[in-house]
Amino acid sequence: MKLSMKRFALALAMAALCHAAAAGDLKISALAADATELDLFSPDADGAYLKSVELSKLKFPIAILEDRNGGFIVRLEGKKYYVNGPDVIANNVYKVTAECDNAFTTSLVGATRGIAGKGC
Amino acid sequence: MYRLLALCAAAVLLTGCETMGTSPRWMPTALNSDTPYLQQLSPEKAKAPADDKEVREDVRRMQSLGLGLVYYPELEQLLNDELQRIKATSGFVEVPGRVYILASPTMNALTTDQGNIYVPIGMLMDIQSMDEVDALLAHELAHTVLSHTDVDIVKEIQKKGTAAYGLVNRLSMDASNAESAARRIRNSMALYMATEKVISPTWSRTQETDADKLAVDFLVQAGRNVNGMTALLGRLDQWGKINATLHEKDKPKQSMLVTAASSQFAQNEWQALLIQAADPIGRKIEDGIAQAGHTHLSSEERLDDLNEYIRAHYRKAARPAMDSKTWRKVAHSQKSRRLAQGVVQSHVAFRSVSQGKSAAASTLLAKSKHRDVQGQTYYQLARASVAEDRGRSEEVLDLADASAANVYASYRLQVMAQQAKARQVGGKADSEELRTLYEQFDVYGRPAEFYYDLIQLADTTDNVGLKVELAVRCQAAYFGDANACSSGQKQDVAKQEAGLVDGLLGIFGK
Repeated sequence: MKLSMKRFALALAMAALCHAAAAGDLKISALAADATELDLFSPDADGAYLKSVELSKLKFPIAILEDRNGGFIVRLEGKKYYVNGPDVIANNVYKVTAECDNAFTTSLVGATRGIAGKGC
Repeated sequence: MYRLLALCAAAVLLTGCETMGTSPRWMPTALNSDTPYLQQLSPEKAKAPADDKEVREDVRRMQSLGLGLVYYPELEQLLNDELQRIKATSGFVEVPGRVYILASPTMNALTTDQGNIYVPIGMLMDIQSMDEVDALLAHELAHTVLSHTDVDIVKEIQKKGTAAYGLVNRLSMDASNAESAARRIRNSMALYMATEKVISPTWSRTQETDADKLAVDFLVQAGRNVNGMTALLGRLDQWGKINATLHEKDKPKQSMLVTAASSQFAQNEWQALLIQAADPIGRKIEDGIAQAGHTHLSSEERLDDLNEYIRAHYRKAARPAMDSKTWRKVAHSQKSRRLAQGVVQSHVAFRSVSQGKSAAASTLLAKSKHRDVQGQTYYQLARASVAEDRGRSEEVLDLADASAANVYASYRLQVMAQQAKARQVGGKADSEELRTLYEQFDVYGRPAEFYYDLIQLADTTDNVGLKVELAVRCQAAYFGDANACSSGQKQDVAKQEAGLVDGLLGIFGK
């Protein structure tokens, strides 16, 4: 029992370390091409708009504390904010395990092309 | 100039003379991005649900396509509750359609004419939050609201695609005249690829971006984070990049011809013949069309377009925390993972059989045997394909029997059972049972790819009436393409095809 608890605690610690390491590697290197300001939102559940910061006042790279799937949590001037994914250039990669196959969409009539276009 | 004229002539010839359908009454004649799309629509005028019979047929047709549908009530319920919520908050409560899970490992969700949304289980495993899945459902609902599946030209193009697909499947089973078959495959696919890749993207380009924008309006109304759409398009972009690498690496295997044929248990030698048929002319046309087809919008471009729209209308709208917990609890549960893994393995097994590796397929299927998976139609289909390949008719019949009571039964298994029975008695089908199978064909929405199997079975009986009826309906379903319904090729059809192929080669360069 004691051994299992130890193993469990070790696994938890490793998982926490991995998560921190993964988030630690993520960075915002610049604003998106046409943006002159960065919009900041509350990182809380409501996600309210708080303010916009001019490009000249930002220092890159900005470390990403958390990848929220389409948006990021960052720390600016000691406070945490949520920023939109498309507003910045970041090194995040979306996880994809789905495969490629045409067998379905080649024989449909009266259907849309499919969200991914014709696929592969 | 001549090229342009030739392209127009080909377009008219290939798509027929029908024009676009009129806009539905809840839509203005054109949408503009200066105002949120939803504000330009009138949901209160949206039409009541489509014919119930048509909706049921639509689902049954999808049950019989490829590996069919996954039966997973918990996840299906969650998806449908979300769809309903989006409809209710946007005011489009009357728009018909439900969500179903495709037994496919891909990412290409789609919407049919009846408003039903089909999402591959492979895609659901990659999606990470309720906001992202709502973005997908909102996008698909937007297609229905914007009446994209009602556009006649799209339907005509798809009919041509079905004809080409059917022809490849049909010829893959008819090895009597290899040279003529190769020519016919090449011609038919040239027609299909031209319509699909040149004419259709012009429509689909606007369709997809319009659906993206309206989906964002839906998301905001439903109180979701608009970045659910950002994540979805980002994922599709990543998927596209992976596929592009795979495509370049293994071009012949990625050919639509081979995919279409192998999904229908093509015999080994036919794989080789199909590649031969596609190469070099087919490949040259495909490459030429790809170069000319700059109209197709990438996910990255779609994302840019969408971000401009979001900045214009929702820049300061709240970005509520995404709900990952609810989503993962159901969609990424152990059962979900097992079902998704079962789909991947059944899919691989299916392909292995078509490559003559039924022993490998059998081993793979044995590995994925689990109580959550073994009652699923996709698994039974894959097992039946192995049994059929090994000449085990009794096993095919048992699997068809077991599958008949499934919520999402497949017509394909019923056809396989009839073929197995015919084999057991020396190749002759029972006329009465064939009549029953044919009646079921209507119930399943007449999936065109089964005409050839039915015609082949009918040919073994003395039922002349049924043979004639099938031939007539098959021709109608295949847009008058005689190739898909008969073994011979008429001279005038051959000449017409040859002329069009020459024209296309002229347009895209030899």
